[in-house]
Amino acid sequence: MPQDRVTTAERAATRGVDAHPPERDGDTTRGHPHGPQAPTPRRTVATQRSREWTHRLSKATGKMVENSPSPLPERAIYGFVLFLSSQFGFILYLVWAFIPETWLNSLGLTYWPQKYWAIALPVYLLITIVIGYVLLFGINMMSTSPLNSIHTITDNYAKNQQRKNYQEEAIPALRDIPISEVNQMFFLAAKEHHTQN
Amino acid sequence: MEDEQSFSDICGGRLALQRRYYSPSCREFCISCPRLSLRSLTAVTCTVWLAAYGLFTLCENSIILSAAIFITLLGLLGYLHFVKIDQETLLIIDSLGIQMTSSYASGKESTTFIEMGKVKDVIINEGIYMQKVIYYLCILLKDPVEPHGISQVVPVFQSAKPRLDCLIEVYRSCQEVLAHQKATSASP
Repeated sequence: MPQDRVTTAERAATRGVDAHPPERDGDTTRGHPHGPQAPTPRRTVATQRSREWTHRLSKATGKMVENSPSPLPERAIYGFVLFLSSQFGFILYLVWAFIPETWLNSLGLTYWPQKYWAIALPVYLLITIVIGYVLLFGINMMSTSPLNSIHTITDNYAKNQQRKNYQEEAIPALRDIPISEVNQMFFLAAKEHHTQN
Repeated sequence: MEDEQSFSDICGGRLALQRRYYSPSCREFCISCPRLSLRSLTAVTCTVWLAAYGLFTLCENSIILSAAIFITLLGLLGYLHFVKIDQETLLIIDSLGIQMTSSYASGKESTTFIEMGKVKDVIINEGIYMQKVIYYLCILLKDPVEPHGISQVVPVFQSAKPRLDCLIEVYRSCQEVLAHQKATSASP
């Protein structure tokens, strides 16, 4: 039933799942409206309506479909532009680094940075990356709380938490258990188990 | 009543735990670390002297050799007096307080006393130390402002760093003493 398919598509879209399997309908948001097969008119209408629903719902719910890593035409265009520009930049860098100044001046291109920077900038970049590894490790070690710090026991959220009343037959609310209780549970109760066994 | 057991520290070295049970309200735990080994001493001395000899062959200045001997001697004395802890003791008396003593290899002793009114609890806490996660025993001090708050954490056995099995023994004995203290303080 076309109506059933629309409602299931709508329900599936609200749950954040792609409404139809891709091999059936092709692109769900934009692009070609018809799949590779030639569907019947009723099915075409149904798939178009379901696609509109998912498109509208994806816009309404915001981030659900646009953040998927699936290939899209815009992404292909961005990728190709990036590829072309990076290749162009690399060829330009090689030209600047290798071709002598006199040849470039004879072509009319006179305003270039010093060739010293063709070596210096990559070296700077590599040294920065190596120092970054060391620095990150050091920052991690420095921001670890020492053993006598109160932050190893509690923090502001645990101090300001509110106690919820215990209700029968309900799952107890999530809370931060004080460390004394945790210790008694782990280390004193285990002794009783051992003495029983 | 005295009891001695051997355990290991976080790096795998041998430790000896001596328990003295004076009364239901007073107990003492003494952890002794292994002494300075001859092997490590000769290794450090040899490396320092070899480095000094290498510098001497470069600079042809004999002061370097005598400086190396001097540095080794001073370094050893300073290490024994300020760094190398031979024994750590925890004495818990329920009506009085908790006393921690560290005795160094040169004979120096440093003592810290915490009165029982300030002690909230003795717990085993987990923490990140260098690249490991270790268990360590610590004393929680009460917050004068807030009745259920913790103002300070005082770790004990910091240079011996025993493993969890040793800590559990000490923890249980301390909890017995603290429970005894609460019982006697609750009943007037």
